[in-house]
Amino acid sequence: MEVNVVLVNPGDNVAVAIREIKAGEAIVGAGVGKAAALEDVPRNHKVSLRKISAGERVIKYGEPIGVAGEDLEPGRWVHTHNVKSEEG
Amino acid sequence: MGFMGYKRPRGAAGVRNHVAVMSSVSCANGVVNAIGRELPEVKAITHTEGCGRGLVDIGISKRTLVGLAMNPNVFGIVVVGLGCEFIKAPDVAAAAGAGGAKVSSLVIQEVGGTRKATAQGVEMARALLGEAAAQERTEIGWDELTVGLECGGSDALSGVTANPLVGVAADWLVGEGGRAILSETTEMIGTEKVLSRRAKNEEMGKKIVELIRKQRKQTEDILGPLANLVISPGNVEGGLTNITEKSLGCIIKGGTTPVMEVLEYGQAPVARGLALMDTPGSDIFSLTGMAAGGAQIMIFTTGRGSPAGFPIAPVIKVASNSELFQKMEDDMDVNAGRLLEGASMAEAGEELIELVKRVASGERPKAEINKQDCLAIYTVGPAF
Repeated sequence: MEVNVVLVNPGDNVAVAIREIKAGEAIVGAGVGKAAALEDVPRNHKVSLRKISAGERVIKYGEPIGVAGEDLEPGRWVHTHNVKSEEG
Repeated sequence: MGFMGYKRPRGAAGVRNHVAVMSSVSCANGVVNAIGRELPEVKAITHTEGCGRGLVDIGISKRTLVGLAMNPNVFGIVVVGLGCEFIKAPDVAAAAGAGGAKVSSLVIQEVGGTRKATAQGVEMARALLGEAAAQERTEIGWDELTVGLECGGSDALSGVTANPLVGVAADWLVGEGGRAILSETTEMIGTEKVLSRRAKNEEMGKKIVELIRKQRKQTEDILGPLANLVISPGNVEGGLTNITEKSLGCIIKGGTTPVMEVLEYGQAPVARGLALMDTPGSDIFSLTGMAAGGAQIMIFTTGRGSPAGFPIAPVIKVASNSELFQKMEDDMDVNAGRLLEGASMAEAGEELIELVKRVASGERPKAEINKQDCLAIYTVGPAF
């Protein structure tokens, strides 16, 4: 299967879609485990790889970029609508 | 094993053996360019500064010019001044000479005008070229290498492919005892906590927070509504959730090692390892500051396609995507877009490190072949 995400850091709980991923599609990339997209994820946007509970940190580059504003199951489109920014 | 470089009595070895002619003030640019036309193998360095500025800017400019004259890649240099300027050529030469540089100066008003100054400058530079040609490369340890890190003309993939790849090379060099300089304070906004946590001690951490806070305030004060450009609606549409995420994508170029030092613009690092330099995000200003701080090689990532190089330091261009790598193949050296096509970070990182090694020993990257000699000195205040 063709790679559709990049995991920037092995410790991240989100990956970056390198093309648009449609709901139901498998998430494919080195080190990302097994998950399917629960919703459409636009190109270059983030998708959750593991369950991220509300209030838990969203990790990219191995660093927190904010906290989940709601419970995020694996395969969610992760962006401004469901991430609360906390200045890093 | 290290690289084959040019030993310098004043400190770190050069990866190049340039003879340069540099103006101390913009009024001397014409003579510098005339010398450059006579001797195309000489690096003619011109800029817009040297006079008619406030004291802070005069200080920054002088530190930068002295630093450029002392850059390890410069075998010898002639500084050309006019005579009535703030930053006088003999003063720049004296300061660089005290640091061990092979440097002499020439003053147009003293010599008696353009033609005489050009003729004298040509003779001085020609003598240096003869001496430089006699020097051979010898084996040098990686601990003598300083690499400047830069990103410009970035796209949505720069922070995903190219910048993390450069971080691998930065970590390698630091591991070998060398130095990496991470610049562009504007692009550190939002990562205060992350960078201060990575500082070698608490005091350094506070210095980092202060530096970024100052830059954030300045950005807001001067850019006003344009300050939003730091994280623009386009960035958000492109998938970046906030300024922290965007800036993390920039600072990842510096790899993962502790921050050992915070440098002013154009200041040379003393500590080994990773240093932060206070430069603007604008590429050419940033490259110039890092070269003045002694960086012998630059690694420069780009997504939209910047062809920029630097007169006295080879600049390695890393494309964030395959489309750019193919479209601007004459300007790009490394394709980080391979990371989206199955290549691993370790594999691509090794390829970049091998290129850095070859460039250190003399291989010319595209920007150097193209003579993309771009240089600009940072200023903070108005001209008078």
